[in-house]
Amino acid sequence: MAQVEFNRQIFELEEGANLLSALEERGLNPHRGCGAGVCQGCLVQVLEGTIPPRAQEGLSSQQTAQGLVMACMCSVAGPLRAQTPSQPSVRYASEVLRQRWLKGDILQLCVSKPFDYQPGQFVRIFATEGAGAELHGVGRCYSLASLPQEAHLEFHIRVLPNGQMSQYLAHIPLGSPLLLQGPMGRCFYQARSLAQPLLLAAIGTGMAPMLGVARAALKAGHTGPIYCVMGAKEETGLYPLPGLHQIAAAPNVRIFYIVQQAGLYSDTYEVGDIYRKIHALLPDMRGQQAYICGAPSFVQKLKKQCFLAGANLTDIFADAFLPS
Amino acid sequence: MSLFERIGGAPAMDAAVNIFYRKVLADERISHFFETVDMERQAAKQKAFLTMVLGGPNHYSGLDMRKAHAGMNLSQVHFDAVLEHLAATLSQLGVVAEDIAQIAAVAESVKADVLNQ
Repeated sequence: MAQVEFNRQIFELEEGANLLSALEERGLNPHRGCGAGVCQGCLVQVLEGTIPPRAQEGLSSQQTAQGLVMACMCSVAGPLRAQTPSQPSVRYASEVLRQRWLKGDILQLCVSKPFDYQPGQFVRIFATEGAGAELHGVGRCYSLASLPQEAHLEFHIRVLPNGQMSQYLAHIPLGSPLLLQGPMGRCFYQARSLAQPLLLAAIGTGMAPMLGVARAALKAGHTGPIYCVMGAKEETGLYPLPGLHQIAAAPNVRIFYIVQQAGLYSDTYEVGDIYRKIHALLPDMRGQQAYICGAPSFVQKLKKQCFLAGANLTDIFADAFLPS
Repeated sequence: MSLFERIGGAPAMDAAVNIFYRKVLADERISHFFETVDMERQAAKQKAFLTMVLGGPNHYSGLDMRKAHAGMNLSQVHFDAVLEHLAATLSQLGVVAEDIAQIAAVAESVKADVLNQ
């Protein structure tokens, strides 16, 4: 017998028992799909324990990195701790360490670091003391701009005039407590080889996680070309990312700024359409990887474009940010 | 040994979906049906479909097919387009014509459900 814990419920299973059937018998069923290790409808997240290879056959490297398994193909091979792979529900205590304006309405916020993460992932922040009633229990997602080995978490937050959470974070006193949930997100460096060409495309504050991916790639010794394409509607949407100059200095990195409408400083970026720019830059994406961050419509359109240009589905990683 | 196993089983379905889905999205006759769908979820469904027609392990039922395509106003043209891409995909994967014909027959068997007839 092996002890199995699922969503904090504990029970005993025979070794070799099928995980999905066992969960169904106890009313803990995630979802039964094809039941044959194909459709990925019954994915669960293993936190601890032995995973039989068959339970991860056909999953992407980012799925396996998160410990996702197909329950229908998972036979119990010893003690196991797993959960429904929804958004992590634990909230971690953190503390405001620093605030600074980067440019225009972009706030750099540094807080203490309660957990490890991969560069490019994001975190949900919950307001605590001093917040108005409208912010109680409200969480907003922000991308991480720091590196995992750094001692704190850093966020680049667009502060909107009517944005309750962003205004709250812009004015919260140093030392104030915050609650964090995470880390979340699929856009983290996971090239299949160091020579694989990478496209990092983002609009708005999606650029911060892309910077994280680029830094992680260079740190890993990535030698293939890295195309960073940063887009914005207006030039005020582009902002200087701390550490970007180090990335830009690498011989295999090319950075492009694309703005839809020309502004005062139009000699520092290209005016045009980001989709067309990417298509012109990478007309054939066979064997390449794409990391995409930004508004849902942007993410969906570019994912499709990259796929049609030849990139495999398992080589496209995207995180959509809802406007806060 | 089923055709599904001969092609390479579940791992080969990843390659098949990449080829098949790309053809479907690039086809103006049917691409508009996929404008707003989630690509990952759609790919998973297509993987299940391909597994089914290739004789691999599946729990595909006519009722699912009927429910999934209800209200889409699909016609013979759309069905034929998908079948065309299925055949081209299989041929690209090295499946011989004889087997493709047999697979097409399996796909034909769900036509009434897909077209809500």
